[in-house]
Amino acid sequence: MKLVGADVYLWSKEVPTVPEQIGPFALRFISNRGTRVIQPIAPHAEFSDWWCCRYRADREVSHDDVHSLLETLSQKHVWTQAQKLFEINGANAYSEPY
Amino acid sequence: MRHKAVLIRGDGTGPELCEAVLKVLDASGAQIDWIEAEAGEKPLKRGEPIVPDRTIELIKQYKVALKGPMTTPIGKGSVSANVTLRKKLDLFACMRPVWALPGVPTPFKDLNIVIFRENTEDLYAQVEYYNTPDVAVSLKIISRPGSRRIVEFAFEWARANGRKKVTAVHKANIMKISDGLFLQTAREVAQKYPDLEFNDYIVDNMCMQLVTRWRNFDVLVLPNLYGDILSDLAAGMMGGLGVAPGANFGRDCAVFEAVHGSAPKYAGLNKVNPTALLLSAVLMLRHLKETEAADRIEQALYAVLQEGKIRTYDLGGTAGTQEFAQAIIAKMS
Repeated sequence: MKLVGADVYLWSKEVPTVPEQIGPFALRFISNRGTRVIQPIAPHAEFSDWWCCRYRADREVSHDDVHSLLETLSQKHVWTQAQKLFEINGANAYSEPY
Repeated sequence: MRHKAVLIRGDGTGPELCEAVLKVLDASGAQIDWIEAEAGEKPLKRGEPIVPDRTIELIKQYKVALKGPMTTPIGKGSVSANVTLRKKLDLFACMRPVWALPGVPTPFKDLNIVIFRENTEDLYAQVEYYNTPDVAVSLKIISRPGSRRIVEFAFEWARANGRKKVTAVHKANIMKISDGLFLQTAREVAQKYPDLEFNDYIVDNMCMQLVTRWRNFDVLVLPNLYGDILSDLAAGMMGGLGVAPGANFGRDCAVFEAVHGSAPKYAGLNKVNPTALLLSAVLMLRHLKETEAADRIEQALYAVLQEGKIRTYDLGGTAGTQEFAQAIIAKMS
């Protein structure tokens, strides 16, 4: 398994404002309960207060890189869960949001 | 009153089912201007998203859509058009009414239940990971606002439609936190509706109760996965997916759809029963307050089913899709 990123779940009343780039990671999207929310969706879509920020690198990263990612996000946000993202045999071992 | 509604003809048998249903709607006196939109295989084959942005925007603009069945491509990376529509339009409430139709054989006499399934969260959030090469996890996400809005929707619908009881279905004895949150929220919401009876059942018991004591139930409200499973079980009790209608509601938009698949092997054969899509269109007419047209179609459909002379193959007959629709039109005239 090749470590390539992390989904960091933030506790926030609004869509969190997070950096586009942190170390080797680029922000791919913010989702809420599996629905991508960076692009506007329903006119009055309702969300929970738990946001998934996907940070993905374009190369293999170290576990320390993920720790640094969490430290950076912790400076302005409260994260409640983090999930490392892996590739297995070149394929993403995680789902994509709608 | 004239209405505008979006029409998605769908895949497989969808276009011929839509053709039949549109003829019946025209004959009913309902005045609807259809705005055609695409989703499913056609845009996918052109390299576009399975639900193009134009389709989403049209439904947002016109608020109401009728949708034929669509094919979900099987394979890595493919997404469901149905789930995409629900997510992008925030259609959080899936309504699946089931009742004993005249002339449709079912052992469940007097069946009359309306199921409300939460449509946007639970395991259908589809948040999944491999944590090791041998362990995969899927997040079951249940939120308080997500639970509240579906339970409130069920209660509001029950009150507006003269129903007496709402039953919440869960597995909170095992998933004490996630399903526990759904149940706790349902109990809180129920307190705002003292005119309606409220109770709750564990989902496995509910399955048994549904097929043994179906007369005890009125309106059911469930999280996404249980709702998906029980609504198909209930469709079977009604006579099969060929006759079971469905609707998906958000705060602003509603999409009405047959709950069965696109049956691609029957495409172009003029064979499939249009009742499910027709009854979905009837739900749409009621949503648009076109009660007279809705009643007219329902009565004509019931008469045709009751006579039993013209039936599609799923109900033991040999009539084609269009012939069945013509029989309904003849009854209306």
